[in-house]
This record gives sequence, C-alpha cells and structure tokens, in this order.
Amino acid sequence: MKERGTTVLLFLTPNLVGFLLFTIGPIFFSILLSFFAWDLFSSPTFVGLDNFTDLLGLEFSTGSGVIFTSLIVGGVAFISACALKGKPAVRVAWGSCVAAFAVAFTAVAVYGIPTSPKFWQSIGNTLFLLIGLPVGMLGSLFLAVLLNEKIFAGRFFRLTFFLPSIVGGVGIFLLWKWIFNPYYGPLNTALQVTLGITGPAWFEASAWAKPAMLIMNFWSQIGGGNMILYLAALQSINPSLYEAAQVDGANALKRFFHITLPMVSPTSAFILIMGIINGFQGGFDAAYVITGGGPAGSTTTVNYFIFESAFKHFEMGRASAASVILFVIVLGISWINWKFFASRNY
Amino acid sequence: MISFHQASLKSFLVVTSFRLAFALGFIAPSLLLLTGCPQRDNSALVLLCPSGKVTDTITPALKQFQSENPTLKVRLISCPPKDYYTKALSLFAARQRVDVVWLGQGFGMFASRGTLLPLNKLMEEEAGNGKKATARNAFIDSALSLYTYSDQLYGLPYGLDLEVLAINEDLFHQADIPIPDDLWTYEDFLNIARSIAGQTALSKHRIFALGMSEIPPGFIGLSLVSQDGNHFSFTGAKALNWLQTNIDLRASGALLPTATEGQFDRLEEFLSNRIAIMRIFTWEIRDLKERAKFQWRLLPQPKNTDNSQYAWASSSGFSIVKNSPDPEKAWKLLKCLIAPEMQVRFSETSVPALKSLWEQYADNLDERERAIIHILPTIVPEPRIRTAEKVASEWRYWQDKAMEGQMTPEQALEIASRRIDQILQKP
Repeated sequence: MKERGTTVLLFLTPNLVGFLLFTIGPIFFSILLSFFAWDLFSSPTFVGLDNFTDLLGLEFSTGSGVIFTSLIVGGVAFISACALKGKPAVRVAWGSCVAAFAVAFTAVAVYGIPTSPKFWQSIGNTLFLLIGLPVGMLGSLFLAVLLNEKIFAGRFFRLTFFLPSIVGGVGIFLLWKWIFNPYYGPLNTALQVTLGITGPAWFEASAWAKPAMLIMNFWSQIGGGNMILYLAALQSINPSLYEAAQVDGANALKRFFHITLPMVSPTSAFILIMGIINGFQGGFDAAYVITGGGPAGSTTTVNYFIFESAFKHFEMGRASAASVILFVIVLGISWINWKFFASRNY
Repeated sequence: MISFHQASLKSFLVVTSFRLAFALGFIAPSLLLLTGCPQRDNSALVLLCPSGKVTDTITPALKQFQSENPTLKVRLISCPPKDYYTKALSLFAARQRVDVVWLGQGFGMFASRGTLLPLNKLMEEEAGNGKKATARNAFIDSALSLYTYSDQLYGLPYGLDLEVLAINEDLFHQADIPIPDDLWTYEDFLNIARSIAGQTALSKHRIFALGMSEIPPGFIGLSLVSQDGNHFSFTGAKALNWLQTNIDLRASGALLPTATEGQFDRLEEFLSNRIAIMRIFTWEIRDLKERAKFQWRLLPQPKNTDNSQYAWASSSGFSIVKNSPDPEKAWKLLKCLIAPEMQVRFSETSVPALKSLWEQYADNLDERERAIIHILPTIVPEPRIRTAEKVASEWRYWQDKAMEGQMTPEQALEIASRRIDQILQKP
C-alpha cells in the first residue's frame, strides 16, 4: 500500500510541482504583494493595508456629522435594547437602533466619495455586464431545444451557432467595432435606413458603451459552449418522461416547464456558476481592443483595472490588492451559489 | 504459404518499428527540450524601437553600421507602437537585455525611474575629442531640453516632432469662411469652429469642424502639471473656461466625440474630407502630402489675446539603458543612429535636431508647410514626470465626466486637482 502511495506521488509530482510553482506560488506572492508598494524598478515598500483602503475607502467632505450622530444614537439604542430585555420599551429601542443605523448607512452611501472611484466603477461595470448572463442562458437553452428537434440542416445550424466559441477574440472585437461605428457602421446605417433614426455613438458615449458591450456579449453567450452543454443535457433526458406526459395530455409548453427545465437545471446551475466566475474575470480583451476602458471609464472592468494598474501605471501592489478583492468577491459569490444550489434536489 | 517463423518475424518487425517510431516521437522532442534552441548571441547589442516608420528607417542604417563595424552585432527588437512605452518598461523590469532604446514623448517615464544612462560625461569626452556632430551646441536647444531630466541629459535626438494645424481649404470654401493666415488668434479659431459646426449643409455629411476631441490646453498656455512636476497646474478661471468651451463645442458637434483608443483615425477622416481643421504631427505630414485630394495648408497654433503662442513638441531619439553591459558600444551605435545622414532620412517624419540641417530642411518645405518654421520658437516642453501615464489617465477620466455631463466642470476640476496632486506627491 505504501509502495502504491509512493508510485502515485511520483506520477503526480510533475503536475504538483507545476501547480505549486505556477499557480499556488503566484497566488501567495500576489497576496503578499498587496501589502506593498512596488513599481518593479525600486525595492518593494511595506504599506500595510494602504492599497486596500485606497481602493475601497470612502472620504467625506460633508455629512460626516450625520453619520457620526446616527452611529452614536444607534449604539445607545442597541445597548438600551439589550438592557431592557423583556420590558415593553424594548421594541422602541430596537426600532430606534435599526432606524439610526439605516440613516447612518444611507448617509455613507449619499455623502461618501470613494477614494478610488475608478475601482468602484469597474466593479459596477463588471456587475452590469453580468446582466447578459441570464439572457445568454435563456437564449442558449432556446437554441438547444430547437436544435434538439429534427430540423432541416440541423448540423449546419449547430456548427453556425457554435462558431462564436471557435473564432478568435480580437478579430471578433474588431468586427464589432466596425458594426458599432457611429459613422459608417452597418448597425447605425440600418437604423437610419429602416427606421429613419440616427443611431447612438455606441462605444464613443459613456451611456451607450456598456449596452453595446452587452449586445456583443449576447452574441457570444447565446450559442457557443453553453448551447452545447444544454444540448448534451437535453439528449440525456429519458424520452419516456415526455411520452408519459404526452399520454397524460401535457402540451409542449407544460412538457418544457415540467420536464425539460427541471431536468436541465444541474446544467443551468453549472453554467450560472461558471458564467458568474468568468464574468467577474472577463471583459479585459474587449476593453483593451475596442475602448481602452473609456469613455469616462464606462467599459473598465475589474480585470482591465488590474491590468491598467499593473502594466500601465506600474503599481503592482495596488493591482495585487484589486486582484485579492476580486478573488474574495468571486469566492463569496461562488460559496453563496454552492449553498443555494446544494440545498436543492434535482 | 507463409511459415510460422516468417509470420512471427513479420509481426516482430512491425511491432518493433512501431515501438521505435513511438520512442523516437518522444525522444526527439525531449532531447530538443533538454538541449534547447541554439543559444542567442549574448554579445550582440540590443536595440529596441517601435515597429513601422522608425524601424523601416533605421533598418538600412543598421545594415550599414554592421558592415562598417563587423565585430559589432546588433539585434533589433521591433515593438508594436500601441503602448510602446509600457511594453518597453516591462522589458526593462524583466531584466531583458536592451542597450539602446528609442524614446519620444514617453522619455520622462524612463528617466524618472532611473533606467537610462546619463550622457553628460560621454558628451564631454566627445567634445574634448573635438567631435562636432555630438557637441551640445550642435543641436537645437529645445530638442535637447526634451531629453533632459534633473539637469542630466539622457538621450540624443535625431528629430523634433512638432504639432501644427492642417486645414482643408475646400471645406472652408464650401462653408464660405475666409481662410485664416498664420497670425490668427484663439478667438478666430473658436469662431471658425463654431461657424463650421453651425453649417447644416456640412453637418448633414457628418463633417467635424475640429479633428480633435478637445482643444489642446497648450493653445492657451495651460499644462496639466507645473514645470517642476510637483503639482496639478490646470486650475483657475482659465482652466474652467477651457473646459466649458470644450463642453459647448462638443454639444455643437464641432469637436470629435470622446476619443476612445483607436476608435477614430483622425488622419483618415481628414483625408476623406470630413474634418476642417486638424491637429497634425510632423510624422503625419508625408501621408497628407501624398494622399490629400483637396487643397490644404498648415497653420501654426493660434495666438492668445496677450500675443503669446504655444506649441506642443517632443523629441525623437535614442537613449542608452543604464543596465547595458556594454555602454561604450551602445554609445557608438547611438551616435550612428543620430548621425546627420540619419537625421536627413528621418526628416520625412520629424524636423532634424541638428542646427546644421535646419536650413536645408526649411528650404525643402513647400509653401503649404511654412507654418512649421514659425512653430520652433513657440515650443513649450512638457514636464517630465514618472507618473505621466497615470496623471493623463486620471485627467482624462474626470474631463470625460464633465464633458459627458455627469458632473459640473467646477466639480471635475476640483476632484481632478486633488487626486492628481496626490499622485504627484506620492513618493
């Protein structure tokens, strides 16, 4: 048995060495670096939590009085509520406590100016781009259901819808850049010709840049790998379930909602979790190729922010701190997802 | 009939040949991996420069240099121009060997990080030997000052990159606006921009009055950072007025939309008759001359009310990297790259940095390009700072916020001022 263990370890060693050197090592180095200021040229300087407070901190030019007073009132109300255990006034004390903390929280949200607004904006942008995920999932499922039926040129359509996964990113982004060009792009030309309206400036206006990115993401998310996963899930559903439902008089819609949807839900959970993780880690290539993160930071995702901090401003500590924050966010969301889906039976 | 022995021999041969082929398939790449590719010649000098025109111009010169110095080998690393400076800095940070590097306006990012070798001593030695071509006074002062940081000279220029304004005279005629002369003022410039933007006949064809996403602050003598590089200097009524003017011009359609990286090719749009007045740099003039199918001319920057005039400029040249293992050979290469014959070759993209070549260059300019001559005395060097990229990016962010109407110009200036000061004062 011992010999077997040694053999297993020997076989695993090359992979483990690579994993330690190129995955675990950089992760720990990055966590360590987040407590330092380092520009690659001079020696790193220990700065404690400065990188984190700089990224996540808030400053208050006004409203600090309101926050301070509310916190004091909330604290006093909390202590009173604890002390008045069992007495009728306890409800009033708890009410005051909740109200005071709500006021403090609102004041922080209203008066707080982030010390690094670009970072907060990048988180907001990343979250915004995640809106596309459920729509992409629905679209993928719809296509998979269609392609699962025996339709004319089914194989051709399968290949066509899988194309976004095969075609290289930069080429696609350049193509979309041309499509969204406000002056000679086909989209605005079509809008002008068919509806008689002047299309928006898309990537050149902060109000339209994110929706443009979203449209672009739909294209790659609908179809592609997700569609193939759904197709595989659909083909593994036992046909007798549909036959039984048909005998019971269930129409196509009922069969979809009561059989198809629950049976593909493990695949949906997988796609959702992976989509969220990829969504938080994505957005760099499109921002780099198309917009450079602009205009006014409207297409800067967390990943692009990290790249900019590290390789444009040479602030390795700050970039590492942003990576650690991103890691915590992704870990937290994955944990919630896991808890949520683990408690459900399929 | 095949006997048993024959059959087993045949199968033995087949199996063995398969085994051999299989083993060779593994052994050959493994041996290759173990031995590695042929080692790179470490004695060769490494020259880093942007691909495109610079590489095209220096390649024949390098060949000549190597034929004249057969013992000196030079390896050229040609780097894509997008994000050239950050790519070059990353190479330095990774301790990759680079001996001589091409630098333009991003010079400050390198000098302030201590990555370049000061040339003062080498220059003095040259002067002592009576070499005129590399003597300080052989260069146009402003060209040399653009390679100076903390009183040390860190590079030698082969040319000056200047900014002028190009006007499409056909569009001026269409808009019925008289063509301005070299003495035009800032007010004239704004009025022309507004008039062209107001012309509905032109706007139907999406014609922009100005080929710029904002009026360069330098036009009114403003700079983002003070000359000492210690604080944000883009403040006060003048800056506020500048920002408001830009917002108004954007609203009237005179300016280009926010310039997202690579979104808008100004020169192509100008050449397609879609821009009336455009900022043009010396490296773009050749394209303009060869491809424009309309009447055009160059103008200097407009004069301010106090008659002052400011022009943006940058040097193009080469520096020696501090970690170069062979600075003497690198110096030899650098001198070759900025030699008079090279400056003449580069004169299609920049103004020669040597005084002796200036007259010849000016004589070769045609009537439409004469504005370049007027620019030289008005050059104001930009402060060379370590955080140039971050300051520019921070400013762009808050300026865009104001231009997009997401905050007032006052708020944008106030926040930008505070944040850029923090960046500049960080040790």
